[in-house]
Amino acid sequence: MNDQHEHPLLVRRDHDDESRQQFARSLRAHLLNEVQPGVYHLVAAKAASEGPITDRHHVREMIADHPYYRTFSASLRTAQERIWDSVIDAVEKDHARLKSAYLETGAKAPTAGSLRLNPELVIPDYHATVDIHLQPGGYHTEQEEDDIAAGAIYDRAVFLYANGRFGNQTQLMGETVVEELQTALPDFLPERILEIGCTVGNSIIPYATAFPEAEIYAIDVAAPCLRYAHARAEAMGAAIHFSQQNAEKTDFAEGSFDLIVSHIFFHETSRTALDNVLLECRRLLKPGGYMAHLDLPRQHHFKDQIESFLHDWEAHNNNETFHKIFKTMSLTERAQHVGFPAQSLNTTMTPLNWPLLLGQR
Amino acid sequence: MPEKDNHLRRTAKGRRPQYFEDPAVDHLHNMILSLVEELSVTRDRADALERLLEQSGVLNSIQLDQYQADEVAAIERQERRERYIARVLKTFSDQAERESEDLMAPPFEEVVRIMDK
Repeated sequence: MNDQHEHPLLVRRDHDDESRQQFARSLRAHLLNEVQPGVYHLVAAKAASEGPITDRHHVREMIADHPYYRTFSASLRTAQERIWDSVIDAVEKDHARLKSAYLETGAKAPTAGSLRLNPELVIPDYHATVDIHLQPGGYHTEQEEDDIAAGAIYDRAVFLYANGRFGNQTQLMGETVVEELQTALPDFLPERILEIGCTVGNSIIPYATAFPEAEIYAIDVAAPCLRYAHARAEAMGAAIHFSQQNAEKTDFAEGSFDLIVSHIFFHETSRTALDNVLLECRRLLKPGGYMAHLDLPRQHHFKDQIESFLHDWEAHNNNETFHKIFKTMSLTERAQHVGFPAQSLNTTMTPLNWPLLLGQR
Repeated sequence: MPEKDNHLRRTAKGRRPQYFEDPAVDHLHNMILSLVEELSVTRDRADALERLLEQSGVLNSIQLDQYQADEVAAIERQERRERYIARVLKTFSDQAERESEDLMAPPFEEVVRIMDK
């Protein structure tokens, strides 16, 4: 079976935890693959008899009260909740082992990477207002000293959520950007790389493999994810320097990096933050340096308004609230707004079916 | 079993949409899916047991039918049953949690406004 690669920091599951997790994963996959197409057909049939669809909001009016859609939507919400709950069961049981694995990182041998936390950092509104994609406590909540729970929960849950689509070490987003970079810029050998919004560091590890000589940094606002990411990266033999920072305003010096990357990051920020982050990328890049941002599809990428409406489900039901706004925005336009020249920006569609913006300082 | 002093947060901050006209239906729907989940887990576990028992040749189906729990087993079963019920009825504790001060969140349109500012 297509399952997650076991690594020392991955939460252990007993028989019933594993069974529950696999159930939640299968339930979600079934709803998306087998039940959701029925919503599409219902809307299409209504449009055929009632007249053409104007936009995704019109689709919502057409279908929101339909019992099929209501039940589908309620079930998908529950499936998402069951993923988190079944993983939290396992993390509670495996807590002591996971915590000592974190605390023992670097105790026996010096670490290849590092961890720098900032307890004064203010968690931004766009993370503190609601728990994004329903992870109880979000990425950032700490319930005790040296808390790693949110990271341990996220690492397992995101694999189940993606049903393996992000690879068996949830590394595929990073790998995809690396491959796109190597195709577009075959001679580019970045010496200093930064990832913004790294969560558990799953996407940055492929960069360490592809650019073994590079010095690699990764930032996030969430301390429990960073602690876990540090222990996880060390266990996997990757040298990453993690620090707790808001990508809108970091403490790195101007012109610090040859390459700045992000993976499904911007859609979990806000309109103001998005501009601030792009401006910070401009400040942090060396002249001639590149930024590469992989994110979810925008309005014009959907084949029609029904698909776009279905994608809005995440905003309305899964606390991915900003995505509803983000999908109407153009990263290229915002990058130009903060000073990247138009000719330096190029967006390509990746094999993940998500667009990648490549920009040069 | 979870350690008593190690309870992680179980409810996500943010209002839960109401999917059905009667909110009671939302709870019922949630409970049904949780029941389905538990039945799936139980079937997996019974399957594991049967395979292990057959492999080791220690038991047959007649012995299983005649089994009666002793006092220790009965207590363990009771405890497990209580956790099971809490899990199936989690939809209610979630609602209470979301209405607590700790997880109080603005309505959806207000969240949109915050993200949009």
